[in-house]
Parts: sequence; structure tokens; C-alpha cells
Amino acid sequence: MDKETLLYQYFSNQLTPKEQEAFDALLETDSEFKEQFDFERSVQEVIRDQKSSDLKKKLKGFESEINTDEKVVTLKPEGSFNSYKKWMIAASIALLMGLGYLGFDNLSGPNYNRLYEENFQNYPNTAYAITRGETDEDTLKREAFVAYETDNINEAISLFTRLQQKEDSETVNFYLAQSYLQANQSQEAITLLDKVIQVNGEFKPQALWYKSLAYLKLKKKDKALVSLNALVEDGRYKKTEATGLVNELD
Amino acid sequence: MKNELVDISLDQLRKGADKDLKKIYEDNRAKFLNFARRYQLPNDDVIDIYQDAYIIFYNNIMSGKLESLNSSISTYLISIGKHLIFDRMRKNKKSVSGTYDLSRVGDADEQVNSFELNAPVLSHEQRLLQQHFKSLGEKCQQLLTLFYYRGFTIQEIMDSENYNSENVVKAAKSRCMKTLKDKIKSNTY
Repeated sequence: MDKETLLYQYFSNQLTPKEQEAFDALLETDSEFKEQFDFERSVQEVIRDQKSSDLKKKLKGFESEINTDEKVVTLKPEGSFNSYKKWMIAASIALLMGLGYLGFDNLSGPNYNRLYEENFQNYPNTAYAITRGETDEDTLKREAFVAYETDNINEAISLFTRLQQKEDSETVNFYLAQSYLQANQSQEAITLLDKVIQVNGEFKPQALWYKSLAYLKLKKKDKALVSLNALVEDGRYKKTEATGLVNELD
Repeated sequence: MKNELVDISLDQLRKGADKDLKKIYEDNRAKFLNFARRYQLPNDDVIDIYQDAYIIFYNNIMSGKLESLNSSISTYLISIGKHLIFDRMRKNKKSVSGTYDLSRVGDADEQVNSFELNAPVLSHEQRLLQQHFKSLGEKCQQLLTLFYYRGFTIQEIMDSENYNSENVVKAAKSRCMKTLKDKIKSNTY
């Protein structure tokens, strides 16, 4: 059996015990054979690594959906993010206390926190394929979106802010606003969303939706209603949800 | 008859629809978290480990190393998870001498022991190789993935990707590998 066939049998899981012997012997004695094997083995590892990290991203997505369903604030494991985690824990305790308090407060007006929690889901990255090959001018953008997709929110904020100085575009402003929303910095998010709305482009209806939610979070009912009505009128995005919210708030 | 349901799940997983991937993830999550609770790791660590166990399980299904199971999927995930938990506790320098029930996972353990549980960390050269791989055309990436990740034979690749003959597949594969090597040599993306 020739060397090429042996390698082929190995990678398609078809080596017989006898072939395995010949295979092992060649690895010991034939440096060219070993070099080719190492190369193909590397290709295999590289693909597996790629598949694994794609899957990890998906699983994190499933996990945050589960957490949204359970109305629990998501805690994402990220090695060096301890301070962020602590902050999130503090925030979730504060939120739980807040929710408990609002339980008594239900009769006196809309439950803004509940409405916000029920409706807020961060917008997926639809703007930039982070798996593309990287070129120098794209590195910052890529890193920013990677941080965004993996929920490294503090990092996403700092990267998108840097990117914004180079490229003050609709997309960058929108995703920076998204990151601020996730960090519960509603006011910063609103300023950016206003910029996006002014451009009157692709992300306008989405920006209106998130602006409404940000105002809900800030318990500013009138302002939330203004942008919700604008969104219903626009009609391109979340029309049903927006109509529902208008009815609940009115 | 045994494990018929599990086999159906594995088949669905192999076909690669996200909704099945998600269903199996959700269906086994509670059992796994319940098992892991006894090690008193932080909740987000446990979720992280569950995901890693799921990835190892998935990779072994996809590569054909695990064709069918002798027990439920959750038992496999727990068996893999147990190794990962011990690894992590060792790294955190926590004692792993607690009392744990090994009998539940005995059967699955044998199969799991043949898995590569610690994915090798890519070297610098391999990271570069990965970039080059990602810059290959769609067809090349798909072909090499079927061969090196799924462990498909040339014949199987021909059938699944509608190539005209095995020789066409072989030629295409050689061409893709040559392109990859050339990219490394010239180090262009």
C-alpha cells in the first residue's frame, strides 16, 4: 500500500491493524511521510478548533435565551472578567430587590422593569462576519464584534468607541448603543440611537425600538410612547410588539 | 430496540440543524447541572463546563468516533463533564476527594476514555494555518471539513456533495491542500 493511501485510510478511520503497523513504522523512519502527516493532522486540528468555537458561540446563545426565558440576569464566564461578574451579581440582586419592591407597586402604574425585561433582547450581530479572513483595517472592527458576540460588554464598549472615532457610521453607532444597553447605560445608548435615527437608514426602526426600551428602563413613559408610535408608523420592525406596548402604557 | 430514541437524536445531530442542537442542549442541561451541583463550583463555571462537554460529545459524534451510545446522552455528557470538572478543580487547586457516585457513569466511561478530552491548544503556526484555511473558497473548506473533521471517505464526499466521480473529489482535495500549502509559503491571506 502506498504512503498516500495509508494517510487516506488513517484520516477516514479505516486503517486495519496491519496497516496501522506499517503506518507507525513509516512515521518513525520516513521524515517526509511524517511531515505530510503532521501537516494534515494540523489541518484536522485547525478545523476541529474552528468547529468547536463556532459551536461554543451557539451554545452561549442558547444559554442566554434560556436565561431570558427564566428572567434571570445572565452571568457569562469569561476568565478575566471577575469585576464585571461581581458587578452583574450586584446588579441582579439590585434587580431582584427592585422587582420585589415593584410587586407592591403594581397597581400604581406600569411596571417598567417588567416591560423592559420582557421586551429587551440584544440585537444579534448581522453587520459583520467575524469569521472572514482578517485584513489590517478590519482588525479593530473584527475585535469589536467578537467582543460583542461573546458578551464581553465592557470590552465591546471600549472597542466600538475607538472604532467610532475612525468610522462614525450608522452600524458602529448602533452596536455601541447595543453594548451600552447591555451595560444598563441607557442614557448613553439613547444619544447614539438618536444619531442612528437621524441617518434614516437601515437601522432606523431597530433604533426606535431600542430607544423606546431605553426610555422604559428610565421610566420615561411619554418619551417611550413618542418613539413607539414612530415605530408603529414606520411599520418595518416589531410593529406588533410596539403596538402592544403602547396599549399597556396608555 | 434499545436506545432507539437516542439514535434518532444522534442522527438529527449529524444532520446539523440548529433546532436539534438546541433541543438536545436544553433536554440534558438540567440533569447535568444537577449532577455538577455537588462539586460546589460557581454556576457560570458549571454552565461553561456543560458547554465544553457538549462540544466534545458533538465533535465525537460528528467525526464518527461515536456511532451509537449504550446509554442516554445525559449519561455521556455527565461522564465527560466529570473529567472536565476534575481538571478544573485541579487547576483551581481544590481537592477532588469528595464523595461522588461513579456507578452512574461506569458504562459510558469506557467509551469516553477513548475521547480526546483536552482539545490541544493551537500553536502559533496553527493559528496562521487557521487564518489561511478560512481564506480558502467555500467549496474547499467544505470538502476538507468533510474529510478531516467528519472522517468521510472519498466516496461519501462524492455522494453528499454531488461530485461526478471519486477522481474528481481526489483531484479537488489535492488542489485545495496545495492552495493551502502555497498560502503558507507566501504567507498571504
